[in-house]
Amino acid sequence: MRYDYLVIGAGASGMTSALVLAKHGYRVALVEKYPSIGPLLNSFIRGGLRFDTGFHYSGDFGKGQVLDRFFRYLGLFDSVSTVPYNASGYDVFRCRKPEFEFRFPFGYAALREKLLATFPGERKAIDTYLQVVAKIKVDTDDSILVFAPPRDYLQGYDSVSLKAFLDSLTGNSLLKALLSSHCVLYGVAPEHVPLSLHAQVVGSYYLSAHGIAGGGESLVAAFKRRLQEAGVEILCGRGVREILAGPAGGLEGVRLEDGEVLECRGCISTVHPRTLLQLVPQGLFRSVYRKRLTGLKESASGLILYAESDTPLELLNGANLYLSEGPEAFFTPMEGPWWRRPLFVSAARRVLSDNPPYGFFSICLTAPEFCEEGSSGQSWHGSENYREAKERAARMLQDQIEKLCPELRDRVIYRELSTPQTLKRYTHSPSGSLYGVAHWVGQSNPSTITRIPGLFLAGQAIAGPGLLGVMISAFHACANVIGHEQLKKDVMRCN
Amino acid sequence: MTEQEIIDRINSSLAEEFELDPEAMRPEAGIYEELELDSLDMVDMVIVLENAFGFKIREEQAIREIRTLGDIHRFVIEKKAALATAS
Ligand SMILES: Cc1cc2nc3c(=O)[nH]c(=O)nc-3n(C[C@H](O)[C@H](O)[C@H](O)COP(=O)(O)OP(=O)(O)OC[C@H]3O[C@@H](n4cnc5c(N)ncnc54)[C@H](O)[C@@H]3O)c2cc1C
Repeated sequence: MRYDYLVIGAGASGMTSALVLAKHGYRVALVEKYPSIGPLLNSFIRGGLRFDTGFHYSGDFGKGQVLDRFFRYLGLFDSVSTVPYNASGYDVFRCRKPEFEFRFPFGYAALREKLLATFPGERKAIDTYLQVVAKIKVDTDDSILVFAPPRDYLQGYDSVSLKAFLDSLTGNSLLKALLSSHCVLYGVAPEHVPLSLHAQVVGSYYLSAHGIAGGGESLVAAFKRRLQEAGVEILCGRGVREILAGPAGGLEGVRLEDGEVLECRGCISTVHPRTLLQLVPQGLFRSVYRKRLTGLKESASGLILYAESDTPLELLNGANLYLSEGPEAFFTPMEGPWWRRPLFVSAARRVLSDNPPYGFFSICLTAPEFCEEGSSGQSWHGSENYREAKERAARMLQDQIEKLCPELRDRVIYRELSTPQTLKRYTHSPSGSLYGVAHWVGQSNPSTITRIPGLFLAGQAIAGPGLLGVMISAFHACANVIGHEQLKKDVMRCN
Repeated sequence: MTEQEIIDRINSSLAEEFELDPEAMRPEAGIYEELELDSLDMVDMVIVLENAFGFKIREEQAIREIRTLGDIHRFVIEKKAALATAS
């Protein structure tokens, strides 16, 4: 047998899984359908600018925090370094009616102080909110770094939404909008996102926010280098068509789209759960499980505008913008006319130097079906062809950005617009959503373990979206193979 | 719903969704041994019961302690009775 383990999909979760297993002496192949690894994380170049796509910034890179430990353990810091955002304002929240701006600072204490100064009458709500978020974050971190096998598969289900929680604390819509604004980072409206997932995501940014020098491209290059050093065989441009099981149901290998069969003892699948269902022969999963995976909700997709400026955009140096006309738009970020929805804006850099930024990318959340034919009303411009619709949408988005952020007026020209179709094409995701399967109140997402011996799952559907969420799922999937105690010891040893 | 109707609905939903032999659905049947479910199946079992009866039970301790099909019957009957008195 050529391989012990095969990892399906070379996104952040697949590259992490392959590297962890190879570091423990397994013979591993990483199989990716796209012609190169990390298609979602890679950057693209237009007019001298490097635009990042699926990675801009992350929390949890502070010393000893989860991502910092994972990166150390994987040896990624040998080739990349993190760059802190502005400690006094890494995320700038702004709306026009009422005119309001808030800059999120690093650290819970600083955030508390700033919130109290801005909302003096909301002490109790602010304290309760921050205490609950901090507690959930600490508890999750503890369980992440223990790598314990789930004792209880019914865990991980959460019946409280962010909206319900905020409504129980305060009636101040500006404060609630501010605390909901990060929903663009997981693509689920406050009404539907479990408080626990929200806390896991924002709880990490509240500590600190970092980018990676050289952007997503250098992260992919760092992974590639480590994967090669660890002896992982990388097979790109080769999709998996079928997972093969023996008569007793145990995993025996995979068949690729070109027909070749690769034998292996086990597999970690990082593809979208609905894609996985197409790879697994009927009868191996129970029909209830198939039904559950089929019914999983999808996170939002979006229109993404990529724009360039001929003067430096200091405003975006070390900071992202969260823009909206009024606070209410943050409560229903995927409803109403799309050009009035909240906008997230983040810097783009010149190819040869990271600073200052000379452009940006901006996301406006939409449904994944947004530009499909016959999709509902206020979405796409039905009769035009795709190209024309794109051109027009880009202009409308640019107008809205300039309206909400006058500093950008007449300074930028747009270079590219990506739609859910674009995401579908580059990530082979079945729906074109930003973050794959959503984490949704009342929904039980799949765990890393499946009924098929040797088949484990990682990726956005499991523990959460984003670099942090998918790396957690990858380590946990690998812990099932390596042994939980062993992996814990190894990761904690790296300081 | 009578207790027998509740039991019948539990048995038929589980038998259908988990492709179990209806003959095996006896109260003393161990869910892990005889019915061959495993701890991974618990999530789906809870979802099937929630859908069949329109209540939420995922966070309850008692559902974590069931061992036989009869335990499930008792759990659901008690849950339904508790909901009826509460409303
Ligand atoms: C616009 C955008 C901005 C984002 N910004 C950030 C950010 O700033 N910070 C952050 O932390 N996160 C961000 N994210 C989220 C983050 O990029 C993702 O959560 C993460 O990269 C997902 O990794 P993954 O490995 O789970 O999935 P993917 O990267 O989707 O990996 C799955 C891989 O499987 C491959 N595949 C599919 N089918 C097959 C098959 N049959 N055979 C073989 N391979 C197959 C796909 O091509 C794909 O490469 C952003 C996402 C988007 C879309």
